[in-house]
Formats: sequence, structure tokens, C-alpha cells
Amino acid sequence: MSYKVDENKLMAYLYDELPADERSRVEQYLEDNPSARKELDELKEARFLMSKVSDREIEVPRFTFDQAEVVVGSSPTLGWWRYPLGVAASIAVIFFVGYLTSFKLSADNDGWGIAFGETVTNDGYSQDQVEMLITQALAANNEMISQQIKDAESALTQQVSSIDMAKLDEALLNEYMTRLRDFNKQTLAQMLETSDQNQRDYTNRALQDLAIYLDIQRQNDLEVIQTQFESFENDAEINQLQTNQILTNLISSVGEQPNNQY
Amino acid sequence: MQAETIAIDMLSADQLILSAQRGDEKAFNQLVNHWYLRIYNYVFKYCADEEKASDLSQKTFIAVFKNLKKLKDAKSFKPWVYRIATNFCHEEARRVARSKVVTMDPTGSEDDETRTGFESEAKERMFNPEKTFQQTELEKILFSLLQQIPEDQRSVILMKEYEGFKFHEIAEALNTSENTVKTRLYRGLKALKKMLEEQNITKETIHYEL
Repeated sequence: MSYKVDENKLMAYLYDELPADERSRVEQYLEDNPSARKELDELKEARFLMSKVSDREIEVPRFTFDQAEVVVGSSPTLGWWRYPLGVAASIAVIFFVGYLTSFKLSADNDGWGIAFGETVTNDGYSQDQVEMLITQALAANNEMISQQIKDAESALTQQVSSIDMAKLDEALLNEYMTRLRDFNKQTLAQMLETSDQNQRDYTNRALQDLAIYLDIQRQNDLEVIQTQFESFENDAEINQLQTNQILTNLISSVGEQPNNQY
Repeated sequence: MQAETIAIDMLSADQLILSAQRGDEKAFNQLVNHWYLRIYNYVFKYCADEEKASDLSQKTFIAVFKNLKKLKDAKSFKPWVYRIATNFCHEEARRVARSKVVTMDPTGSEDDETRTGFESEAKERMFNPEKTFQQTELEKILFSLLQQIPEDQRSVILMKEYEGFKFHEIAEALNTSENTVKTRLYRGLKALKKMLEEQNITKETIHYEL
């Protein structure tokens, strides 16, 4: 039982790339080792599931060559040296711009400095001066803030007192409410009245229009009937004339010789 | 003209390669017709991006044309083409990974070397219906799983599972030993199986998915 199936052999077996004798030995091993068989089944399942990925159908491009030069409209690339070249170009640009702007970097006991063009030295303020400036600015700022707070306080107090007064005056509020209610009532009544009036007007107009329409319709119908009658009359007259003519012809033909044609 | 085309069709694959090596444009395009779809689909599964797949496939065949004369044995054409395609894919993955590092994307998973920007990009795309039209839900998941396994295992799985390579051909394409190929395949399949289980995708469940 020294025979062992390692992962390489298992792969070769899974993809059917083992010689026949080797394959049967692996099969025997799998029969004796349920855990190996289980592993194989799992891998088979993974293969089965991955086979659900289908291929894409695309149009194959056509390649044409100009003296072994490229093809399908792709741009030429610079190859492996494009990065070193890029770095070199950037450095060159930096130097050039530095030269144009007279860029200077300096360092001394006071620290270091960057300058474009002429170097301007500025000793600046001393520490005491800066501290004094800060203190002054802080004092001014504090004063301003306290003033603002005071203003806001007084404004708030005023507002609060006015609100209190309004609260106390309940009668005024009631009166206001009554007035508001009355006004609403009035408005509503007015609206209803207007709407009613509008509706009535509209109905009247519609009725009038209908009456006019019916009248015109009746007139038209009558005209049609009259025309029909007239045409009947004409037809009758024509018939009468024709009949008379035929009768005259008949009478005259009967009165003459029988071989005479009418 | 007709007779010529038929004559070329009748040429064996090796002769076609020899003709292309001598600079015969028609023979080369025959080769392209024969291999382009395979390479495209290989690259597409590698990077899960239609635009990149087109781009890298074209680059592959341009490189094939330029270097065809250097190919000693016509029999090695298939592993050779896939090697070129794999190199382009790898280069692209590295480029994307680099650009992701530059943007310092906090959502990127830089902690895991194998899950580069390439993969996370593919993950994002999973939820973009325009880019994944005609794809079933299952396919979308499988594509994203492929993106999550390391590149060396991915290329082996793609060649073996979808391109019908023998182990020795993969070894030749990737310039490594057969045993390494088998080990990578084993690990890749194991990883896929684990991820499929995590997604609750089994033989039984996919019938509902589809």
C-alpha cells in the first residue's frame, strides 16, 4: 500500500493524460481511498461549473502590412526605455524651468529658503513682537465677540417680552381668530356663489347653443326634403312629357299606313 | 482568385505558418482567422473586459507578425502565441495595478498581492449591465471568480479548461515544468471550488440560476 497519488498525478488523471497502466493504478487507489475520491469529485464539479462560461463571438479583424510595419491602426510604442526616457525628460524640464525663473535654493543658520529671481532677505519680526501682535489681535477679537453677544442678548430679551405680551392678550387672539373665521366663511360663500353663477351661465350657454344647433339642423332637413320634392316634381313632369310624346307617336303611327316606321 | 483561396485552405497548418514566415500576407490572415477568436476568448476570460480583450488580442497578433520569423519550429506555434498573449495580459494587469496604487484607492485591496486593481475593476464591472450584456448571472459570477485567482493559476486553468492544451504545451507556453503546471492547476481548481461553495453554486443550484 505504498502507492500514493499526489496532486500532480491526480491532475493528470482528472484530465485523462495518464498512460493506461498508471490510470488503472490511480483508479484502484481511489477505490481504496474515499477521501481522495471525494476530492476528485469536488474538482470535477468545479470543472463542470466552470464549463458554463461560454465563448464570445466577435468579428475577426483583418491585418494589413506596409513593409512589415504595423497594422490595424495601432500607435507605435516606445518600448522598454519609455520610462527612463520619461524620467530624463521630466528632469530636463525641471532644470529648464528652474533656469528660466532663476530658481534658487539656499540654506544658512536661520533656516532654508526658496526663491525665484532676486533673493530678498527679510529678517521679519522678533518673537516678542509676534507675541505682542497676537495678544493685541486676541484682545480686539475678544472685545468684538463680547459686544456681539451683548447685542444678541438685548435683541433676544426684547423678543421674549413681546411674545409674553401677546400671550397675555388672549382676548385679542380670540378676536383675531373670530375675524379670521368670519373672513374664511365669507370667502367660501363668495366662492360657492361665483362657482354656482358660472355653472348656471355655462348651462344656459350650452342650452342656447343646443337650441341653435337643433334649429339649423331642422332647417337643413327641411331644405333637403324640399329639394327632394322638387326633384320628384321634375321627374314627374319629365315622365308626363315622355308619356305624351310616346302617345302622340303611337297615335300618329296607328293613323298612318302600317309599313310606315315611326 | 477562388482557386487560390481554396489552395490556401488546403495547406496544412504548418505550411500556413511557413508561408506567413516568408511574409505572405494572405497566409498570415488565414492564421489570424484560425486563431483570433481563441486568443480573444482566452484574453477576455483573463481580464473580463471586452475592450481590453480586443486591444490585447490585436497587440498579440501584431507581435506574432513581427516575431514570426524567429519561431524555429512551426509545431510550437500554439504555445508560442498563447505565451505572447499571456505576457500582454500580465503586463496589462501590472499596469492597472500600478495605476491603482497611485490613486491610493481606499477601497482597493492592496493587502492581498494577487487581488490587484485589475480584479477589483472586474468586480465593479460585474454590476455594470451595459458591459455585461448577453451574460447570464452565473457567467458573471464565474467570470469574477476567475479574476480572483492568482494570475499564474488563472492562465493554466484557462489554457487547460477552455483552450484544450496538453500539460506539456502549457509548460512550453509558460516556460516552466509540467509538474509546476499541474500544481498550479490543482491549486487554482481548489480555490475555485472553495469560492463556488462560498457563493453557494453547486451542480444542484445552478439549474435554478439558469
